[in-house]
Amino acid sequence: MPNEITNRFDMIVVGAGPAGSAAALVAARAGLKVALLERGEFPGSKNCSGAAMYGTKLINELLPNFWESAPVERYVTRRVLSFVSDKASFSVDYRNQDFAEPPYNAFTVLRPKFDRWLAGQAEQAGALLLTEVVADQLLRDQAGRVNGVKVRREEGELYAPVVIAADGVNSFLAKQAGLQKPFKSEEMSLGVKEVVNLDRETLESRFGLTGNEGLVNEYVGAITGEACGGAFLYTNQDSLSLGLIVQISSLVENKIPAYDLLDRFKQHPSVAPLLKGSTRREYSAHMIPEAGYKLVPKLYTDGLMVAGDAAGLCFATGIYLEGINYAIASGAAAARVAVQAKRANNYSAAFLQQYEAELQNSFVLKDFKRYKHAPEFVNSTRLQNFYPELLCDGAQELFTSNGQPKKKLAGIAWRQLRQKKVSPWQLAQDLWRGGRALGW
Amino acid sequence: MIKIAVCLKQVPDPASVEIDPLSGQLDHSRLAYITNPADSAGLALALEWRQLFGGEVLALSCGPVRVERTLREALSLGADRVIRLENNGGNETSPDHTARQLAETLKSWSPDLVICGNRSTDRASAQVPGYLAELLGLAQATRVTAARLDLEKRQILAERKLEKGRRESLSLELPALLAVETEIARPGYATLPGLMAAKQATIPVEKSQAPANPPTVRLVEMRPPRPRPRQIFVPDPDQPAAARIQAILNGGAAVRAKKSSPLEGSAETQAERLLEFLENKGYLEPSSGQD
Amino acid sequence: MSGWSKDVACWIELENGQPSRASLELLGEAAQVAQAQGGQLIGLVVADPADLPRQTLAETLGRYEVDRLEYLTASGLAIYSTEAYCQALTQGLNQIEWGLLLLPASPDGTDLSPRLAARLGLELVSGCIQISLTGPDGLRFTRPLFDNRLHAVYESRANQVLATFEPGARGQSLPGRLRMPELYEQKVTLDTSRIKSRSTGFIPPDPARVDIVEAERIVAVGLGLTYPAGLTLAQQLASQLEAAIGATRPVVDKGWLPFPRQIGTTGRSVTPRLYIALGISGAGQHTGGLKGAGTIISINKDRTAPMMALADLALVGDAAEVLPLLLRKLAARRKTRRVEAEALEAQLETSLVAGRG
Ligand SMILES: Cc1cc2nc3c(=O)[nH]c(=O)nc-3n(C[C@H](O)[C@H](O)[C@H](O)COP(=O)(O)OP(=O)(O)OC[C@H]3O[C@@H](n4cnc5c(N)ncnc54)[C@H](O)[C@@H]3O)c2cc1C
Ligand SMILES: Cc1cc2nc3c(=O)[nH]c(=O)nc-3n(C[C@H](O)[C@H](O)[C@H](O)COP(=O)(O)OP(=O)(O)OC[C@H]3O[C@@H](n4cnc5c(N)ncnc54)[C@H](O)[C@@H]3O)c2cc1C
Ligand SMILES: Nc1ncnc2c1ncn2[C@@H]1O[C@H](COP(=O)(O)O)[C@@H](O)[C@H]1O
Repeated sequence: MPNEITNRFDMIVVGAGPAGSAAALVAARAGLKVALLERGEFPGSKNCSGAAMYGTKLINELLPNFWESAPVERYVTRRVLSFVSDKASFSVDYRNQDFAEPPYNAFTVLRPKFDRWLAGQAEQAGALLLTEVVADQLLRDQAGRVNGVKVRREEGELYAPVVIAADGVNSFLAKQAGLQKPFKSEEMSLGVKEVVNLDRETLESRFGLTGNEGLVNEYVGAITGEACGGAFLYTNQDSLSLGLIVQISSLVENKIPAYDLLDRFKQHPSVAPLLKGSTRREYSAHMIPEAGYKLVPKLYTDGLMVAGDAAGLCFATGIYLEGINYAIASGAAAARVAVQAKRANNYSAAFLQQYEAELQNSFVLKDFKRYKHAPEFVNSTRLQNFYPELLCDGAQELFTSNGQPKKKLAGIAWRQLRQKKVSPWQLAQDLWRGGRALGW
Repeated sequence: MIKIAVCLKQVPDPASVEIDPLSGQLDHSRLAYITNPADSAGLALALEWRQLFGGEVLALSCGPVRVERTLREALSLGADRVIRLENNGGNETSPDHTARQLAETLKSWSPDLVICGNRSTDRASAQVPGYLAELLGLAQATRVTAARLDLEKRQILAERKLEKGRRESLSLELPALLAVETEIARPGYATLPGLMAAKQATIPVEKSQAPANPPTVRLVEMRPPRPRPRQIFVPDPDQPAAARIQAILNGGAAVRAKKSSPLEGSAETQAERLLEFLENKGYLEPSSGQD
Repeated sequence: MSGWSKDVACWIELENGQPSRASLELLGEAAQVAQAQGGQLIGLVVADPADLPRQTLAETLGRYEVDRLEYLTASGLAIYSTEAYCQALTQGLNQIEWGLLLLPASPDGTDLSPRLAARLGLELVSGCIQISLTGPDGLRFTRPLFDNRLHAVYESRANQVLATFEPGARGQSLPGRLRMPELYEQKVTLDTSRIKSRSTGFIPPDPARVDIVEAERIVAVGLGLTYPAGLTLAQQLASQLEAAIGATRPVVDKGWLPFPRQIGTTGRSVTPRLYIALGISGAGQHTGGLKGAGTIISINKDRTAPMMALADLALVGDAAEVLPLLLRKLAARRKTRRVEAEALEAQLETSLVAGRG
């Protein structure tokens, strides 16, 4: 590469998270001159560490057999959903050996490593990655079209006919472009996460895993107390990622510090034994937009497209916690549109509109529409507290041997419902809402 | 015009250093590297002086490929030239070997001034500057916290840190070596074009000819710190009486109260609590040094 | 060079004509090594011949198991200078047999030791906290790495090696029974043409300006304070408590305080006994510089700020309100103290007067 320094690029990507790196990778491969800006010391340095990544098929399309070189921790063969009450838990345990074969279904990753690797792929494709560079302002031409960004450094102007804002939740750029309205607190969740060390052997025997198999366990119920949210625990090579996602409004309402909830989760009788002997490695907290489709802003304007969390494309509702896949998919889609825009030499909103169309047709916005009622449902009190309790108490009756004749399940369920004073009508309604939110 | 060489060492970011408290194993996979903070300050001083007097700044770092990042940072901040010196020993060579490598390259360049950090934050040997100054026959000042250059007289006036806040002033003739503390100058921010140019630059490498004498001092073990039994404990006379008594009861071990949970209350209550706390800990006693 | 010697030589640094604390501590370690090897302990004192209390020094050092004392003298050696002392010690060391040379890891010892090692063509192990024997002909050195989070053990099989010893690692030795050392004095010839640096004076510490790295008490300022009113309050508190003022990075970035006041990973690491955080959130980059702090007090509006979790006393409140009240209380306290003291004095006086009368 000639060492000529210029501040003009074909495309500027702000944020080297999964969305930004995917965008830079796709565009650089197509021959665009790309600048990828990251405010952190390295990509991923600011990210909550542990995650489960579901976009496997998609990443495989971008980077065939990526698992051979990418720093993935474990492939997920076991998914557990646990409903918990104060002292008990009731779990649905799903295990599928098909998921142990390439292209795999999901991986656990440590974000600082994974994000760095992904950005490295973009660099190898020819993108110029600039770290410790904070984009401060969108630049516009006389017609008001976005044509670059200004970064927080001297002589910090960079120009390109198209900018991709992949700067994560609370996207400063999307707001500046007037694409995103400020979030309401019930639309935002706080994610708190911890990574704890656990030696590999103990981890594998404790979770019934062999080789590089991994487990993802999600929890709903008493763990988040009065607050709405869910908890999770993932296995890495020799560590566990665990944490909670809690609605900010309900934290405020109930005056509970998020740390206390995390402690409560770690001490829960169904969790504590899993953590025995582990030591804390890192702790972080991060905001997540969680109210799904409702939050997705307009995704483009003249010279600008928004991708990933910046576009509200994160799905974090109780048992679902996905964002990396949507980030990669939307970043790649935006880049494809940018490549076409360059060919057509047309960066107008009218042209970039294709980006949204592409997302509408891909799984990204389809998922978001499909689950558009999920947030409200998942955060309803009954799902948060009542049903987990119901399940646990019911199971208690079922499994307690006290010399009484065993009751049929339906009978137990019925009695539980009666005791907890839920009308059959309410139950039916919740089932319907639950089905609509999560099932169909 | 002044020719300044700056020696930059890349060290693990202390925040990334994880040591197993039982085995003393250092988790190498988690290390993140930064430029030794005192060295960055030294570079800032060099750039300041080049700005004032004109001349050239050469930045050097001995180490594996990863130290290129440190050199790119130096370029982005304005160093005229950088060289990476490839270790011909292992990864971490002994300080005298590092100094010999640096000396080998610097001899032919004959700088007016060499700036080092006073010590590195990892091994903290504080040896490289002294070795290097001797090998190059330069006047030296270590622990330098402030310096002024008089180019006409070819003289540096430096302030050197002694114990308990005392300082010594020194005058040195050029050519000289300064081993500086972090407060010598404030590292600047690179401009965006500087950053981009540095990112795209090729970093020259020199392989050392300095023979890697098999060191007679060998590292044989790394282990978690075990405080050695201290023979006699003499409480620090500068401490208030209460603290001295507590220190004696503790055999000199540092005392750390249990962390309390945050206390709410009116400003009045809080001020009262603070006062009481300071009083109980003996911080309101007049200190022994003064009346 | 002759074969391996069991004798241990020590550079004894003088402070106002007396061995420095660090030197006496070093002698404890040196004596132990010499004894274990069955060698002698040789003290080397570099000084100006006109200004050397030979007898008192010998009597002091004779209580620290020094077998032999070498005075290396020349005029111009009254004040430490790297080159002059390096020449003096090189000449002195050439006249004696030694296997290990110890220097205190004091400012001057740390300055001198690598230069001397390079001149002698030897290796140096710096900042040791323990020195012992390994086998019949090897020495074992323990020194801290990573800010004392790890100890590294080195072994030397060299015929001659240098080491510096960290003050405070061993604790001060007590004087023992006096055993007069053998005394020698060597006149050193200095090659002054090689002396290119000169000490031009000493500056006493300034309590208000004392470097935060060396400060025992620090009042640190974060963005939770206002400028300039809040900062002024903090400075008043600092002066009341005889504390140095520190700051977070954004405070320095805004230019409220100069860079040397910045605490944290890109600032300075501090080790005060008392640290008061005013309106500081406690970001990792800030607290990274606080690992060595003793008592921590935090005032913050936000009870969940990480700084609060670190504090021994965490007060939820508005610094702008608490500080003026605190300053007033401090002033009032001082006033009552003074009144009490005056009353006491007055009482004493009256009783004295009464006694006399
Ligand atoms: C606690 C928690 C757990 C999660 N777990 C999972 C999980 O298990 N699986 C999953 O799929 N998703 C998970 N998510 C969601 C996932 O982290 C996000 O959806 C995903 O990171 C979005 O990627 P992104 O590239 O859009 O944004 P980000 O990953 O947030 O990246 C944005 C990047 O932009 C940089 N940046 C921001 N502003 C600027 C600027 N002005 N200038 C330059 N750079 C800037 C940032 O430093 C950052 O690197 C979780 C989120 C949280 C908070
Ligand atoms: C590469 C890098 C290196 C860095 N290095 C350093 C470093 O060396 N040192 C450093 O300090 N930072 C450093 N930082 C910055 C660091 O991340 C934080 O941004 C910084 O420490 C925050 O400073 P602060 O606590 O003063 O401000 P804030 O984080 O803004 O906190 C202000 C606090 O004051 C409280 N508050 C507000 N009003 C009041 C009131 N009236 N009374 C009481 N409390 C009040 C608030 O609740 C808040 O907790 C670095 C950052 C980066 C990216
Ligand atoms: N590998 C290296 N490359 C360049 N300079 C170094 C290296 N090691 C040490 N130095 C310089 O010597 C100073 C003191 O380091 P040390 O002797 O390791 O405490 C550092 O602050 C650097 O300026």
